[in-house]
Amino acid sequence: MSGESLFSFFTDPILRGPTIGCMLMSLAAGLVGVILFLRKQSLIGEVLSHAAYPGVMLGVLVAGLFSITENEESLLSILILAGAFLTGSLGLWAIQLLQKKMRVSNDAALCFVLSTFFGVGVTLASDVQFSFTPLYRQVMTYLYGQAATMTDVHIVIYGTLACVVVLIILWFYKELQVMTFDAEYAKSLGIPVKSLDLIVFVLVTLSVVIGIRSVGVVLMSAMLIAPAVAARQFTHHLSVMLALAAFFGMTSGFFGNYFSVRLTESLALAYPATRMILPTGPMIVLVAGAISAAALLCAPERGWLVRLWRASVLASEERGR
Amino acid sequence: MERGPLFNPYHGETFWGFLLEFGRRMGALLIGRLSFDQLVSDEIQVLVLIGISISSSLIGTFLILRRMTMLANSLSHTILIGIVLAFFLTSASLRGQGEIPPMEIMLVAALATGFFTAFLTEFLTKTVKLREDASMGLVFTNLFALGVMLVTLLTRNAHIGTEAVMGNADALHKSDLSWVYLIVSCNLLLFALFFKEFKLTTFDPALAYAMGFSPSLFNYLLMTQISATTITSFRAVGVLLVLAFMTGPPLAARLFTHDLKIMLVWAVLLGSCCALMGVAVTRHILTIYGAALSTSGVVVCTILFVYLSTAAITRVAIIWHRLVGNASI
Repeated sequence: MSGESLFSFFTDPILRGPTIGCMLMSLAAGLVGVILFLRKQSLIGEVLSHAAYPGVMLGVLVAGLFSITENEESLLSILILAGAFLTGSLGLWAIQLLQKKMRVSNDAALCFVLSTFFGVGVTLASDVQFSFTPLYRQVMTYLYGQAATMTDVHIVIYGTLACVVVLIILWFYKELQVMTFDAEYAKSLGIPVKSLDLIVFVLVTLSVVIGIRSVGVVLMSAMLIAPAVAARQFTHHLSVMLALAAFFGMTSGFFGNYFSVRLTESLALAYPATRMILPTGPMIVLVAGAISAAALLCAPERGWLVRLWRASVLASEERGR
Repeated sequence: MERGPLFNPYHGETFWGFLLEFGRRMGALLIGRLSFDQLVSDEIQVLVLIGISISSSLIGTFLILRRMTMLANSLSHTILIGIVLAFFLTSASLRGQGEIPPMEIMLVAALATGFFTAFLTEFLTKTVKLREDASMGLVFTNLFALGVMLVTLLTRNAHIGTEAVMGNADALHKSDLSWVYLIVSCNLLLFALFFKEFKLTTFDPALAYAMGFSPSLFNYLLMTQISATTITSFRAVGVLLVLAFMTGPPLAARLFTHDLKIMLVWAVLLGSCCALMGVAVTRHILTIYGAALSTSGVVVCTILFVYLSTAAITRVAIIWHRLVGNASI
């Protein structure tokens, strides 16, 4: 029975939008997260996702100016994605500028860009609320994400973007590998490090932009970090790590949806009056967090509990001798 | 409950008129000609925002110099759990819709979640041996996700979640004013009392440790101050925008000074100016053009503008110096 109900998440016309959309999002985020994790830039996703927020609002403002209504889903989505991509890249560029030209330390640059861009977003949001009130409700979903209302249109858009991310990573796999582990060596090999950096930035921005619809700007960074952390516990190989991160990402994307739908159903049965709804975005993040917590504690070789256990076995052997 | 005066002295004022009238009324408040109860909503807003920027600028200066600003980012995210728990604990007795729990409880909850966050992050870094940026990111995103989940489940009012993140400067009360200034005085007192210790642990933690001042003790003290400042300002500016108050003015001040004391003073001055200007611009320029923008957002935009213009001025000054220097040689 459970097998059948799991499968229904991919076929049911209402459930398949959020499920497949979230899985595609987590796939892209997991892959890009690995690169960021190895480059020690995990927190950049956090900044980017916040920096994308004013872009979302810009997209909506443009939509409002051209009197696009909230019913034209695909056009609105594309405008919002374009805006998010624009300000996301602007945020990344601002971080670089602050660090290189203004000699601001890494953490302060991240925090400053994150909060000021978000502030601009809040300002634009209040303008949207005032000028284009019908669109505002639609827009608010981008703050915490709203997977439940995703449709087949979203599958197409996010599927294309996720494919682009996967293809770029496959295409530049060798170069990325060399550059991630030894930038100097990569330079000596004649690999254009600067343009590859740019490609990584495009990848990060793309993956964040894909995610803001389903998990929202404030939670997106989790999907860049958690799968990579979990994958790192099991392997020393980049290719395996990428595959594992993609797998963990998709698993959390799926089970986040599954739990949110099933638990909402059972809550509705238990307390019919209250209309409790478990939001999907945070659920996906929590599933991903649980996976990485389990990996951190129990992974063979590197898990903390495993290491503790090995140490105690070793100590008892010493005593026995 | 007392109602505010029906007559708003700032009604119909221009931008400069607002600033003049505000200065006049604040002067009257200081010499006792105007009582605390007679403050109107604009003044409460300005004063609260100025208080927030004083606290944040002081804390932010040390955070930037200690490279700890991402800790503030973590704490401001996880504080949402504290807010939700405070709602949950008090909702049994209050029950009113949109009723906010008393600040004492929120303060305790915020401090508790702050310590929990720091503890968990440190556990992942030191014991489980996960890299610092990843463990920080892992902890706060998951706690924040839990917070969002609890908000939607327990309060069934997504409004609170939105307001916690975005702030709502138009719904401030006089009680907010006293809480904000209580925290301001605590921060001022702590930094005045332990200025030497803070300075030493910031610039030379090893020496500080050798002299018997534990740097981690001051880290935790600073962390407590972050939590307290964030929780008192979340109603006005939201838990995320307070980060702009913490980073913007000190970074701008850092551009033209190398002296810690001068940097603190300039950060506070710039922060307060941004708060005042932000409100003035929102209320008395933008409304003329029919734009009703969020005050907290505009204040953050002002901070961004002030930083950018300070950066531009210092760059131009450097280039000019070089040109003049070359010409004289």
